[in-house]
Amino acid sequence: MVLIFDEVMTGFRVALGGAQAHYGVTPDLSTFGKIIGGGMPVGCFGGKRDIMQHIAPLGPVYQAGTLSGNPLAMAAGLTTLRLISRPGFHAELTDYTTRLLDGLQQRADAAGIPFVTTQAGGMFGLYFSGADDIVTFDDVMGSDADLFKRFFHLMLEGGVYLAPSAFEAGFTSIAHATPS
Amino acid sequence: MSRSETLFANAQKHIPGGVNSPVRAFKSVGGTPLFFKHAEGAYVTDEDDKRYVDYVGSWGPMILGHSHPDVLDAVRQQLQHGLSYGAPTAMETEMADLVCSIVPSMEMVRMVSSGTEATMSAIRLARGFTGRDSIIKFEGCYHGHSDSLLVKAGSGALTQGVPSSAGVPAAFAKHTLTLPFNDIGAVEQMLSEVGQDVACIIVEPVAGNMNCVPPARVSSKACASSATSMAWC
Repeated sequence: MVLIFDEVMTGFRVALGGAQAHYGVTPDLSTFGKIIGGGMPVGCFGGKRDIMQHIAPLGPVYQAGTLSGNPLAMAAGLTTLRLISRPGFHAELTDYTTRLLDGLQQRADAAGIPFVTTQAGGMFGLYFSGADDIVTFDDVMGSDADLFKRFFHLMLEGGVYLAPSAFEAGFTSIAHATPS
Repeated sequence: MSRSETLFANAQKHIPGGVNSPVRAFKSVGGTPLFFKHAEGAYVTDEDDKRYVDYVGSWGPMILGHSHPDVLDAVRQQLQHGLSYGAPTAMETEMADLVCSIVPSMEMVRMVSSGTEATMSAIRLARGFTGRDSIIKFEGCYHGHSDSLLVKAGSGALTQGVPSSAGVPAAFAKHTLTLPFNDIGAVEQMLSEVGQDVACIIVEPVAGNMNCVPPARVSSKACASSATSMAWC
């Protein structure tokens, strides 16, 4: 049996080496996307050599793509990966994200609104919920989506663009952490 | 009427729902989606010239912020040499080498054009490698929109209140075994029952498509102790 980590979101974000580095678990195969393309359409999968050698043209598992490895996309992705590889990048991103969530939590607490946040490096979740922590799918579904809706539109009016859904993660960037 | 409202009305004539990916339609929060025309650093600017601090980041890619000058320069430089060759380039090897150096579990990599393609291909590979058909995924996890993976999925599917898509044949979906996220006991039980039929377990190590749910501490410990093989949860 093969363990596949889908690191399309977490890869290069929760830590440079992704969630597998952050949590210390080694999958057999991993998938990446998003950051690896630096804003261009790119995905990637890979892992153990003995498994990957089953892919065409080495092996019998077919897989192909007209635009796979597209040069413009590689240029954007390579540059992005090199820039985020500098020491301290992910610590700064994580610290900023923690400060953001702490600030929101303080304001919600002060206003007496049940509110919980989750974080993994530079990604986060906001929940209008009285739960102690968010661990299960039911915890997620138990949050107040109507309150989120109001919050979303008030933030939008105030000039903050959040994911337009109570069921999507939020993402920070190093530009948030070091405003010009 | 704002420009976004006008553009959204026009978009719906020839684009289903006016958008090319469902979550962009603002269905779950109501109102009119903003149409953007510019993005720089931490900010996006809409068609009505209002600027927003952006916590979507194009759903993840823009970790440097938008329009990073070095990234734009690299693209501009390549632009002078053509857009696509459909043949090998030196840059692909640079990319493969870099990914493998950053992520030690990666010994070989294949580039594709989207995350959906990556997960779809990884699952085909796991099935081809093991000669087994079943896969285990977790409720609320989203791994793109290939048929086998749109069973109890998250993301846009969840936003629509339809975690499982129409158009996925029952014959495909039956090979997708779905378990609760962050429940190691459910994984162990499933594997003890049908483990010999399971090609792979696919998981978002931090579930990012049902909001953001990190792995439970006890679960990640259990996984670490089982090293590369058995269970995530």
